[in-house]
Amino acid sequence: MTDPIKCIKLSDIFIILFQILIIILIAYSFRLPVNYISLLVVLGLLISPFFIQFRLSWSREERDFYQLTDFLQQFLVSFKQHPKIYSALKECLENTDGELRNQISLWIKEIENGGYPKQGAQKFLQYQSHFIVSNLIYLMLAVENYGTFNYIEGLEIIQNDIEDWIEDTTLFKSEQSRTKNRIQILALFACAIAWMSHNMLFQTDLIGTMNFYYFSLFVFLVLILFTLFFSYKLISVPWIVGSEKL
Amino acid sequence: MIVPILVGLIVWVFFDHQLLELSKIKTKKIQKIEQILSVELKDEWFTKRYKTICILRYLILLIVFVNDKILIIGLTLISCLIAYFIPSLILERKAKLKIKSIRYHFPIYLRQIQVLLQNNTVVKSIELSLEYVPDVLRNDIEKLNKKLKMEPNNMTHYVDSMKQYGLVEIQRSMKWLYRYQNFGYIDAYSQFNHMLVSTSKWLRQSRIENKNDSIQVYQWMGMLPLVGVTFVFISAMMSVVISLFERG
Repeated sequence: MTDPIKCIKLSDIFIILFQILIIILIAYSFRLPVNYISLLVVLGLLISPFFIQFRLSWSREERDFYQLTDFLQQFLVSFKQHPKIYSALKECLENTDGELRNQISLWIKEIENGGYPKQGAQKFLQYQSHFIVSNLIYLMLAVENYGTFNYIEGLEIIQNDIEDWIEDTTLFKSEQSRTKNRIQILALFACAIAWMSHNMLFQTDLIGTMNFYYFSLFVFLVLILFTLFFSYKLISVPWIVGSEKL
Repeated sequence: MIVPILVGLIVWVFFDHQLLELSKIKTKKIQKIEQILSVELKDEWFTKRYKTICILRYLILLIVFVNDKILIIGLTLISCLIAYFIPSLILERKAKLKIKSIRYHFPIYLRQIQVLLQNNTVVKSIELSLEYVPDVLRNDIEKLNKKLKMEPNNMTHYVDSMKQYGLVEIQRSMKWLYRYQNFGYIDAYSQFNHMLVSTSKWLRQSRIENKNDSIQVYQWMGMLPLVGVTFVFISAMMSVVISLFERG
């Protein structure tokens, strides 16, 4: 199975740490008291593993999604040419990886051991119960067991569904990524506004009581950290949505 | 002003039983909600609602102690109205959510049927689909399956199925399934293709709507830094004002 940590690029981890570093530098440039800066550093260190985990989850889900859809497309085309599940599975096995490969191997073993084809298929469906996968497998089982004249049409319906699924998911994920970037840019703008107002205020020498002001700056920076947290949380949702599973 | 209100309250208490019976009358809206949620509201639901109003009506007694009588009357009226409408509004919301979920899951289910139709009849496809039918549709599909087993050629069973949700797409699909069952594959072939295209569009639309809903929650998070910077700005202004006061 592929090591999940390989799914994330080093540049992604660097960007995450850089973002937290920027917040701490901003806190320093605001001349916040050391205890507030220390708290921000601790909070940043505590929160950064979550950022990495969310980014990792995105990469893993992305890899699994494309691997599954590639497998389904190949499986379907292979079955179209020669309507036998066993040979289609064998043909696709080489191009899969990780848990998907394990599940396909199990299915192949079930067939080789002489089990009823539906048993192996049901185990695979327990692993991946998306309605498209279920439609495809049930149609294949029906074709193999009873034979039919019109199965090509059914396979084409499913083929179109897979293509629509890939297109919709890719579009949605890029929209999610854009939303994440938009939220982060808004956070940066907020920092810029706070920094400008801070500079203007200190040029006038009107401010005397600093405690409450420093506290509000600290709260603001914590809010920025939380915004970053939510922006990464946004992308951690599964690529294969639960509501489409049966 | 106090006396007529108190008399009114006593009259209300006197006719409590009759009013409770009146409140148990099911309006068309309630009946529709019952059909959508596949539940029957029992007497306890209506009694509980009426009893809440009964407790809240005693707020009116505050007029004896408070000078602003209009405010007390208004408050009592509003709280009684809220107590009356909130339970049905909650049910209405549940019904709306169910319809939304059905709108999302029906094209998924229909796709299963379309695939099963490749080597089964409509009745058999519906029966086979029971194994993997989405939970939200299970009751309706089970009912339809039972009816079709008795009379597979009765159009009413198809048309009446899931009629309560008022979704045009479902009605169209049901009529199409009836035609497919009764007039054979060749006659229904072109309609089958139309239905495939239509289901694809519907499926994609539901998927996109569902996904956009999930993004919208997070888009509000983008407002968080702006709230923060406003807070910083206000606190800075406060500090300036305090400094100015301190300096005299």
